[in-house]
Amino acid sequence: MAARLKYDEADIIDQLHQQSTCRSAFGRVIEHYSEQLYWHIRRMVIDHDDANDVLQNTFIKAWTNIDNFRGDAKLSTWLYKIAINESITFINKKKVQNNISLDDDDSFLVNSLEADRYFDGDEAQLKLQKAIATLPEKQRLVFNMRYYDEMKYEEMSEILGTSVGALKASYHHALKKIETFFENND
Amino acid sequence: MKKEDSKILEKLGKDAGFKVPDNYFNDFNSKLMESLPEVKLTEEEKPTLWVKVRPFIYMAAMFVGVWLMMNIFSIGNNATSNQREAKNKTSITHKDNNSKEVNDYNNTIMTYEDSVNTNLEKVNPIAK
Repeated sequence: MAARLKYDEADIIDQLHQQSTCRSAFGRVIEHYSEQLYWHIRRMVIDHDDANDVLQNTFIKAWTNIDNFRGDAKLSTWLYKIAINESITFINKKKVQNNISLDDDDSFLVNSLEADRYFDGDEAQLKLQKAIATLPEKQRLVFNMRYYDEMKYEEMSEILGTSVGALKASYHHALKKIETFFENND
Repeated sequence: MKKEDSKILEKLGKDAGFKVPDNYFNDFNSKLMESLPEVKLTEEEKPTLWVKVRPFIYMAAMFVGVWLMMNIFSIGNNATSNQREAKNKTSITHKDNNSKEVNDYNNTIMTYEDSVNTNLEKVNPIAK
């Protein structure tokens, strides 16, 4: 098995801007970020096949726009932004396909979760996913990034373009709503 | 982070219950790499020598301008002071010349008087 090269972001960004090395450098970006982006997308779109499509779109979009990435922000911040936009676009498309208003929450995504072959969670885990799906989109994002990804508020602020204070408030509201959901669905 | 989490979440933990097919990430990475389209990067234009040295030339020109202006002012001042000095010098020379002429005149008078006296002595020795 070939030894894995050390991932040095500055080095990778430099290689991404050279025609001869950009493809192999992007391969290393995919290798480094695919898993964490997949889980972030999966928690948003719920279904594995959908998450697979959105992740693929995320990387293709990043690749075709690689020339526009100047390295001012972190690569992870840029990729997360693309992944979030792609996830929201996908969910909105699905809402339109299912005749659901764009203002409605994303509960419809969890309806088929029990039958999903790539979900082996218990009743409490399913309930939590249902609770999260009732949150407004921004709160859902903030909750997933903070609770599951354990992302710092400062990093979230860069990705979502929202102040740290507003993100903390958002997370607090999300927690309250989840608790209320559990209380009401006991 | 635990401080801000609720008791319900503490019980549930971080596992959402999602899973992926075996070897999913390795397969995904290799498939995606194969499907990536060709991308042509725009070459960054290398700055020409003129673009590189332009700011230094502008700065040098500015200093030369300032230096020239300072020189022009100081030449003006020097010219005035030179004129003044020249004036002073002329008046001093005049004074010097005047005093020289007076001295010469005095000397001539004295020499003339001496010669007159000598002649008188010769003519009339008693007159002394």
